[in-house]
Amino acid sequence: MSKMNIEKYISSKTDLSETIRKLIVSTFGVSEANSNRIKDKILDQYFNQFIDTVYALIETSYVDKVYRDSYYHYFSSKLNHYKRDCIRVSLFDGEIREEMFRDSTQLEKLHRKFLGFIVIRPTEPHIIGRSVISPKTKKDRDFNVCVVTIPSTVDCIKFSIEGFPHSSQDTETITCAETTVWAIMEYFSNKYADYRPVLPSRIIETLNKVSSERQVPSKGLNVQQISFAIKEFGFGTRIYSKDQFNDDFEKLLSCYIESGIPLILAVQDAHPRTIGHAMLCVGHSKISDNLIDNLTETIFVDQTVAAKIAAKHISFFDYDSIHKEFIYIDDNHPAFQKAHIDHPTEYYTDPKWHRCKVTHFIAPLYPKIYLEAYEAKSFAIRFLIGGMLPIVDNSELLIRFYLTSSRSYKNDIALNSTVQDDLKIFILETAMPKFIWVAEISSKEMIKAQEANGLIILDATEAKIFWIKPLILGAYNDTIVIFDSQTQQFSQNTLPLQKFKIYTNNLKGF
Amino acid sequence: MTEKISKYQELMSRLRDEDKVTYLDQPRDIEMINDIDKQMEDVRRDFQIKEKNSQISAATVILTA
Repeated sequence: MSKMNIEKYISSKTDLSETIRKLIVSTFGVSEANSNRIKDKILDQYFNQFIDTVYALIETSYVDKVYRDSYYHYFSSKLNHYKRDCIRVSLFDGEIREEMFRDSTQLEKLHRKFLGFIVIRPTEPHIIGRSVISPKTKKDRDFNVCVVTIPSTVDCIKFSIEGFPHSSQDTETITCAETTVWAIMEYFSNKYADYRPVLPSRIIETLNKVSSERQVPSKGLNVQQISFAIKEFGFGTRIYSKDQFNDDFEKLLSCYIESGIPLILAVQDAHPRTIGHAMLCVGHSKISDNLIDNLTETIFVDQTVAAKIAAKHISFFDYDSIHKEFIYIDDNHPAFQKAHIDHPTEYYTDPKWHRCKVTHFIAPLYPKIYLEAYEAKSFAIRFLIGGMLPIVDNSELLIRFYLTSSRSYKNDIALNSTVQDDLKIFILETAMPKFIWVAEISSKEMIKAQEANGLIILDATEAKIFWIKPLILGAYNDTIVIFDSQTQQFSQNTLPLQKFKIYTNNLKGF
Repeated sequence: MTEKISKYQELMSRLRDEDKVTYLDQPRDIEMINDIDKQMEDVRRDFQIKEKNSQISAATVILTA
């Protein structure tokens, strides 16, 4: 029997790679030659993207739940000896000292400095395990992303961090496909009580139900299998393919990201198809005035919509068409990579990855969202220009469309001082489902100031799109359309509307 | 003492008194709603085909990298 002590080290960013290299030699038994390759190819690349003021507290003998699961279900059954324990690297912004972790007066300062953690696994060369880092750790953090608060401890002190779960694949129990499923579940289970986290063995066990072959060592998954696993874990998944949705594909993807829903992307190179990769899209770059100025008018394929827009000489812009970069969680790279959706892997150094395109995405929706983005947005646009809201000739309309929980939305409206009182009453005292679709009607100039002057709220649980059933509220110019519970029919109320600040709580900037 | 603090019905009554409420039950409104329905019928049909085909092609994309 042998018991291990926890060894602890404090390191500045400059020495971090080398400290970890030495530790993987001494604790994991990695050879000097291999450790040097890991340092050059993985650790240096990883830490180079961090701000220069990063300090790390490194602890050995760390029991990581994800790696332990893979260890007991797979690695322990192999001839080669794999260690059970990991190394945990906890990151801070600015210098830290040992005594700060034993001084209660210093704790608040430490909590403010905390940037997250990275687990180093004994699975060379793929040693980056479960990690959650704050976007503040990155040199380039000019973006808005989905984040969740994850607890951690550092030197026996409890901390928590806002970030997105990330791990590199070990290529045996988890490849890119399983890693994205794990990360999605880790994100949602820490965010909402409706979901539970899953470990690699559970993902493998779930997929065994629909597989005619063994699942380990993993040979990857197809998009349908990923969707199946996510559905089994409690989501109402939807699959969208580029081939089918064409120009609407990127807009739908953007709409879900604007809704704060992380998406699983399937990425492939064109010819020959040698690369098939799964990664997550979790946010987008901040929207500059320049990007809004460059936004071109939407051309509608639907002739009825196009004719109505043309008849009123409306300039119609779609916020989802803004040519922004998206933010990815890619298990081959550190968290929060940035690239345009038409070149989603342009941050890879290997040029063959530069040919890759997104072929499909999976939206993990709450199971009771029966009205999905394509139909919901189509409905909102047709209602807007359908004549029930007073759109005057030569108007400029910019529509921003997203899904949100009515609880968060009402909370925001209740505290939004720019929303006029009577509109507030209509929104806050109308019964709504758990999730709603919201279309904010604005213009290029107004959206630059994060303002809108119109609103359409739809019931995301209403799959019947006829008789304007999904409509909860529509407001523009001097008219509010709302369901009158007393007469049980929609009423059109004359009420001049003021500009108000848009809702920005779905994604968080740092 | 209990005080009713909801203001929705009060606001609706005020708007009705000021003759600022109309109902979407006039022939013109029905025509507009029917028009939206007709368009949405096409959207739904189009979406269902695209969604099914997306599922079919999803089975052929293998993700390993």
